[in-house]
Amino acid sequence: MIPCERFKDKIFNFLDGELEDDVKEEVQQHLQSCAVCAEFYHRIHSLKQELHNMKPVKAPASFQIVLRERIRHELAHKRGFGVSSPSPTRLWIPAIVMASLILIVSFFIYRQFSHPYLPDITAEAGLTITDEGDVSRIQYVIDDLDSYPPSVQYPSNSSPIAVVDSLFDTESFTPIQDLYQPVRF
Amino acid sequence: MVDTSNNKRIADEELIARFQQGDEKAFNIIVERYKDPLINFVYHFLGDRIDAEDVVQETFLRVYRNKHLYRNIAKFSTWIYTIASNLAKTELRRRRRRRLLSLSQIGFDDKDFELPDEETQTPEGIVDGEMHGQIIQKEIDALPVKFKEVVVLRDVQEFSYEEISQILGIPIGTVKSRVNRGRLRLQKKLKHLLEEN
Repeated sequence: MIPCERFKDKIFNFLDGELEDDVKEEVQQHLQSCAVCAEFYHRIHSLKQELHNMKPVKAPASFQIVLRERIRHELAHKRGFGVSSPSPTRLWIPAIVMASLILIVSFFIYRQFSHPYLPDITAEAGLTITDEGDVSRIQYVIDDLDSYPPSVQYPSNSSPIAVVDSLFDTESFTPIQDLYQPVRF
Repeated sequence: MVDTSNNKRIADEELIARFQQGDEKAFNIIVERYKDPLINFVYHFLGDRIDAEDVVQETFLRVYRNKHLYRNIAKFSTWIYTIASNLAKTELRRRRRRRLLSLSQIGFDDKDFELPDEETQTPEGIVDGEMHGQIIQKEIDALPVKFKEVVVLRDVQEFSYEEISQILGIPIGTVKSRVNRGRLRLQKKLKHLLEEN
């Protein structure tokens, strides 16, 4: 069903009540003489009525309560108190401070109870520490080495490794009391 | 078009002016006046009641938040419908993205494109007004957005062509042409239902 091209738009405008009187009359006359356009007119008219008569959807009773609550929430959030959740920066800053404190304290504890040279020296010299006495002897030598400024280069044959090696040489094991003399290079 | 109930004694533009000066009661009257027509409009646009309620809630929140942006050069109804229409279109785009995503993840799902069960379209069933409404709504949902928005605004909400032109920001000629093309599509799809009348 295709209406006459010349009248198609006019039929729409006629249904919308947007035609001048003379054009309206022309359309009315055409509809009486053209069955196809008349059928088209009735279908569009019926469609408009169906759309107009569709059951209106209404807001639920709680609509305004929910809206009020959302507005209240937004206002509270804007002012930065009340029901608003803490901003990310408020959570991150204490977390970073705490982590830094833990790191600093751990570092000082480590410095207090260990010596940076000890594990390196014993590992490189292939030594196995078997008792507290070994540790004390090594620690003593290392403490003495530490008394030299960092810029001082050790003589090649008197590196900390060589000194520790000599301490644990089974052939010429130095009596423990002699170790309490600072090692000289 | 917009419900002319008892609150209509005060013009919308007067209410928004009062609200701009801090009168919260004026905002309540605006909500009371517009909540039903807006939900009806957005429902027919989206085809989902819950989504329509969310969009209209957001519309009023935007009005509340941006009350100072309204200037008395356009009708208030035009302004609020423009906000609702834009939000509804954003919701439709979001849905389309979600659908594309789900299709690409799980493959083609023909359930979304199922036609209504033929048995439910018996003449006895169609007599039921609600069934009519559901069938028409389904066909409105299937229209391209550019036709759907103008048909709903014109034939469901009964805005004038000039008002629709202002709400959507398109020329009146384009509005008329789209309304007519939308109607043509609908009348083809709803042929059997319309012939019964």
